[in-house]
Amino acid sequence: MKSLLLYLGSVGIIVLRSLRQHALSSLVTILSVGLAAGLVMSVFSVARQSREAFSGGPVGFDAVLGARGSQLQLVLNTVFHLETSPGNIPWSLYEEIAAHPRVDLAIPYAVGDNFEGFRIVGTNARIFDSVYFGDNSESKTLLSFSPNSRVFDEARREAVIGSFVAAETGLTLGSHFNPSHGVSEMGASALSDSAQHHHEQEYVVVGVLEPSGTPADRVLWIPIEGIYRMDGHVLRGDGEVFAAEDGHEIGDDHKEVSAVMLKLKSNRDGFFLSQEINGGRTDATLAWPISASVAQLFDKLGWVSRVLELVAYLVVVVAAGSILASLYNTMNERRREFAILRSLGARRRTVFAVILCESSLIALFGSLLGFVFYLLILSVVAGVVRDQTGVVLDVFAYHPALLWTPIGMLGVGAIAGLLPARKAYSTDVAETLSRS
Amino acid sequence: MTLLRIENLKVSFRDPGGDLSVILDVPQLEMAQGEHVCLAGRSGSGKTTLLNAIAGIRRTDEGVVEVSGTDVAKLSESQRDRFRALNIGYVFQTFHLLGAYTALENVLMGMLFGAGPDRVFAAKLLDELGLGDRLRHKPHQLSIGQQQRVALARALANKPKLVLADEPTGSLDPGSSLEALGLMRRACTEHGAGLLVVSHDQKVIDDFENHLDLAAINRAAKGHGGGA
Repeated sequence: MKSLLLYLGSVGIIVLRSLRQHALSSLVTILSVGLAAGLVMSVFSVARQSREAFSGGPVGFDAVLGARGSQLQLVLNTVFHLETSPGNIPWSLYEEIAAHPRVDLAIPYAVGDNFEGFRIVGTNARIFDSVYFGDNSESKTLLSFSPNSRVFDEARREAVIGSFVAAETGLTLGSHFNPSHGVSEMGASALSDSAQHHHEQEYVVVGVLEPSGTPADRVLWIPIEGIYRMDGHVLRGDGEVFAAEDGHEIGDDHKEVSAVMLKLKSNRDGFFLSQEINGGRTDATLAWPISASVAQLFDKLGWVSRVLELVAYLVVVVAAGSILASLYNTMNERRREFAILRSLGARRRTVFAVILCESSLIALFGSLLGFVFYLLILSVVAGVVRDQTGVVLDVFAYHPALLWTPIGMLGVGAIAGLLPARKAYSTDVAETLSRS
Repeated sequence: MTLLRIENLKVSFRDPGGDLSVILDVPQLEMAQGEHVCLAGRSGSGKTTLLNAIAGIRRTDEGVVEVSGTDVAKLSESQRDRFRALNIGYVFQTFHLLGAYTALENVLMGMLFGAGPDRVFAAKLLDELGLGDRLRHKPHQLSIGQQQRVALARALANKPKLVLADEPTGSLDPGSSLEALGLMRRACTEHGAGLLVVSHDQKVIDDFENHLDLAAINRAAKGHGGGA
């Protein structure tokens, strides 16, 4: 036991001294390994987290009913507030689905306006008291209001705004704003202010929501009636063009909605409703389950993931090469050192172990640094994803890549050290010492 | 009591043409415990090869190389490494100190594969050799004479039975060579180690009561004459 400890101690002392002696090249190599490890972990973790975040938790609904067309477009438009609306459906369809025995809750959405690029969604107050948002865990909650906030009055020009909207636009309780016509496909930055038509209707902010980590953070909610009454908006609920006038009620036959957000009584009901609407009707599309539509998108984008994985693996190969090169380059100068150590009684296997430990230690330090790079990369990516979609990625979430990447890097490091270790192992002591 | 016994030792090497050349052919050589012996020899007489064979650094082809009763020639390579670490100290002509390590660390490295690091003993050795104030100096910060003393301390670090010294004054100026040799001999005596020196320096050779001409005992050497 004592001799084993002495052996390990000997190897450790020589390895640490060598790393210190070649500090610059060791540092550069550790940096490259760290970058590689960080990239690999990030690619796998971001891929999984985005998929889970988009297809799982923050949705709050089971299904979306909208105009006939792409289910994915419908989901992106209504759940993530991206993309354009595939079209409108008449109010009668909303009433029909709301009364359907398989439907637990139906909430109408009307979109088409924005404020400083953030979507305005016309809906009713039930979005605040009946729909649970949240992450992937079981901790879904109602959207919660900041102090002194309240739900809009459906008969007034009042708005409730998401936390991100408040932070970005400066709107706060009591602020007034005029909606603008149109929506951006890609988020807030894609609409230029000068190119927009500002509606004359002025809204007052009566509620600011607490951050929810969901796309709801990026939305301004107003009563659905407000959308109908914006200047320049026309309704075609019964096929005829109708423009609402102040002081006059709008008949239900004129009304239309962009989509109806649904909570179903059970999964089984989703299946049958999907059959009924998608298979038996031509005037509407039911996106169910919502996660399947998003999963479809990720499947379509699967090649991007694979390209990124390939790039990450290539970076690992480059890092392994840099370990090999940095050790191999020092071998000529170190051959004398190893010959001296051998003359002092170090065995061949000791100098072999020294090089292997050195390459593994570089990989280990690199992997530890990789976690720093990983956190940096993920923070940036999570920030971008949050800015663009409101979906929050958990920087600290566990992914198996966080375990197997460092282990893999250690293996790669050890393999990269084999060639220089072999060179150290085969050092001819007598010949090397006689030449130096 | 015999410290070193060599019998019919043969060492050969393969030249660039692929032919095997015998460079060492020593029928007999003996040294008693604690004895100081000098082997005189010109360049090419096989001096370093003989020391390397005794130290187990170079594999022998035939014969017996017994140090303190152990036939080094019969040991495996790793056994020779271990044996060398524990029993033999080696002072090379160019010292071969580790440049990145301090004087003290060089001595400790000598102990690492042998008796195990003993910082107090290592410092004491260096102090005895007049380097008490140079413990943390690296080789390039030391004079040639001081470097040689570090090499000597390292050779004595594992309390070896035999110290081998290859041209110990070869790198020193003539004025200090005898003084250095005297220091080496005293240190070996104090630590109970036998000393086998190879040198072509006549002053060194004359300093030893026991000196042999390597050309005379190495039948493979140029100018082998057969006499002592």
